[in-house]
Amino acid sequence: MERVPTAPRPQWQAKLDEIGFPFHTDADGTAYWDESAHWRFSLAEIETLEAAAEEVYRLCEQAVGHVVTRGLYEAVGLPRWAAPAIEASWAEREGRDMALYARFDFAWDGKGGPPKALELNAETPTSLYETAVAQWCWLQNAYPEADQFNSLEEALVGRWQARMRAFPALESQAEAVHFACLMPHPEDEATIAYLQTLALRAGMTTKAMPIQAIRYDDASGCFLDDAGLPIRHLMKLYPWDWMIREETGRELVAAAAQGRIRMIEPAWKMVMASKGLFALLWELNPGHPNLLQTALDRSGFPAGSIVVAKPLLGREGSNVSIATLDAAGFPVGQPIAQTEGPYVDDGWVYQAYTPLAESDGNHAVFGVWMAGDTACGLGIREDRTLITGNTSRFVPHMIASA
Amino acid sequence: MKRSRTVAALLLGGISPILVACGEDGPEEATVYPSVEACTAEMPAGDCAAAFAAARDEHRAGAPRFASREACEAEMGDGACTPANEGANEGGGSSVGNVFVPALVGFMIGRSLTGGYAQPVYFDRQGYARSGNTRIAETPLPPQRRDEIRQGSGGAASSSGSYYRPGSGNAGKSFTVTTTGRSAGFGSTGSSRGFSGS
Repeated sequence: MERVPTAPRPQWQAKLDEIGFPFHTDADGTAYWDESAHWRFSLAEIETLEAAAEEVYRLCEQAVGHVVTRGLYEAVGLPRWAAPAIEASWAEREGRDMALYARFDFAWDGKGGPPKALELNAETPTSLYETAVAQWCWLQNAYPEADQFNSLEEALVGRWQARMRAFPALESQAEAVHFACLMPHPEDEATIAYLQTLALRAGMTTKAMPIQAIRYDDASGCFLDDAGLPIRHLMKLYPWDWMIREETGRELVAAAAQGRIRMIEPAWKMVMASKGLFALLWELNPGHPNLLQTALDRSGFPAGSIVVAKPLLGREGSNVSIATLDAAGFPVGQPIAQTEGPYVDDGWVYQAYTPLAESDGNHAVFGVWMAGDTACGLGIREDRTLITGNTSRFVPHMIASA
Repeated sequence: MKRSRTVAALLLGGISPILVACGEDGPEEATVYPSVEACTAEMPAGDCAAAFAAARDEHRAGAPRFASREACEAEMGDGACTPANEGANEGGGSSVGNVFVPALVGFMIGRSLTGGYAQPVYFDRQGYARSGNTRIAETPLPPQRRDEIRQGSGGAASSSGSYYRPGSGNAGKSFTVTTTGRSAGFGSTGSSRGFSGS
């Protein structure tokens, strides 16, 4: 793999505006979309990432099953009373409560060792449109003969079609899928509109609405949309572990457990989305080549280890710190890197540090997208610091022809 | 090949009728691109014209068809329907056995390896978006909802919100539907944390 400095397309901002992606530049004027370089991979490297992602996803599914069958919800930072929704949906994970998508973050320098999975963003993965559309259009403009690890859009349309086959009422359009996110929120609304577009292409009836406008009818036990119609299928770009702690969270758990509402992602995804799952993964598969030593406490790491501490239910690279530990598991000196944030209440997970791909001071994390259990795309985020966050730049990629 | 053959570029605001600032129970406005003119405000004019022409052709071929204007409007909204041969047959006039279709109210533009494609989009009277070549007539509204809508306003325990109904003939008009139940309260955590995914 190689990071190749590249001349941006003339009027690249206008080109991104044109395809409905005006979020290329942050409020402070720095680029979020960065086509002053691209990453170039061999097909063999892409196939290595693809295989690693599908392998670790399989292990993640096993670990979710381990949590569900043994009731280990506290270990992944979730309240036991959410179990009815998690367990009911897990039982139907091959059918009516199938997964839609997820994004792994992989660290890999391509210098002989295997890719290492850092985490799985299993519920509300960001950078969907950048990956599926913006970098696709970049390739089409800049290197139309080249290939890219990016069948994300086709794979997601396929997932919507699979969901339709699981619900005759969706197929006949007697029922619709509602799409909800926080509004106003231009970026999330664009993501919702894109997911809605893919569902429309699959042939479904859809409706977008603010998540704040969802209502609950105590008499019928139904959640209602802003026209007062029951919501039977809800794609929410908003975490389960927040919804269950909001005003009608317990009603949502009950409705999902009884199949009165089908959630996308389904409730079992909140187990898969917990950072704590990776501690369990290591416990179940110690020494696996695509995993890093990960634990819920720091005492098991050898003295002198560099360890990354992450919030169990954290997001966007917030509240992450990297430090060297002593024999008792305490940090030695100042952290090597750290970020601030609001996720300080729900416990921590500790993971052995491994370097990201690096070029000219740019640290790149490889986001491998999953549609169900199939790896289908790559989106790369770069940062000058060691911790990838919500301001890290999105950099396109291509597959070099052999 | 490891990449998609086509992608669906977004006309922001062109797909969803509710891409708007919106508080709970607040008024909602739709922004759709019902015309080439609306599209060219944000897109190259040639792309808009070509896309709209393609969407119109597909609309003529594949729009959901209703036996009467009443049946069509019951589903799509008052004034939202048009005879199927309108525009396609300028001199023909109406005939016995006319078929009614919803007016085309928006379109998706996509990009493919070889160029572009367009797909018509319809919104029914409750804001549901449906893509072209589907049979809306086969999915009647629940009867009680239809009655409530006909009555136009709610009972004692309901609140109401102004609801935009897209339609080429009278875009911008609103009508009222009733909402029942209580706020589910979702979104409070994210609103306080500036949520944007992981």
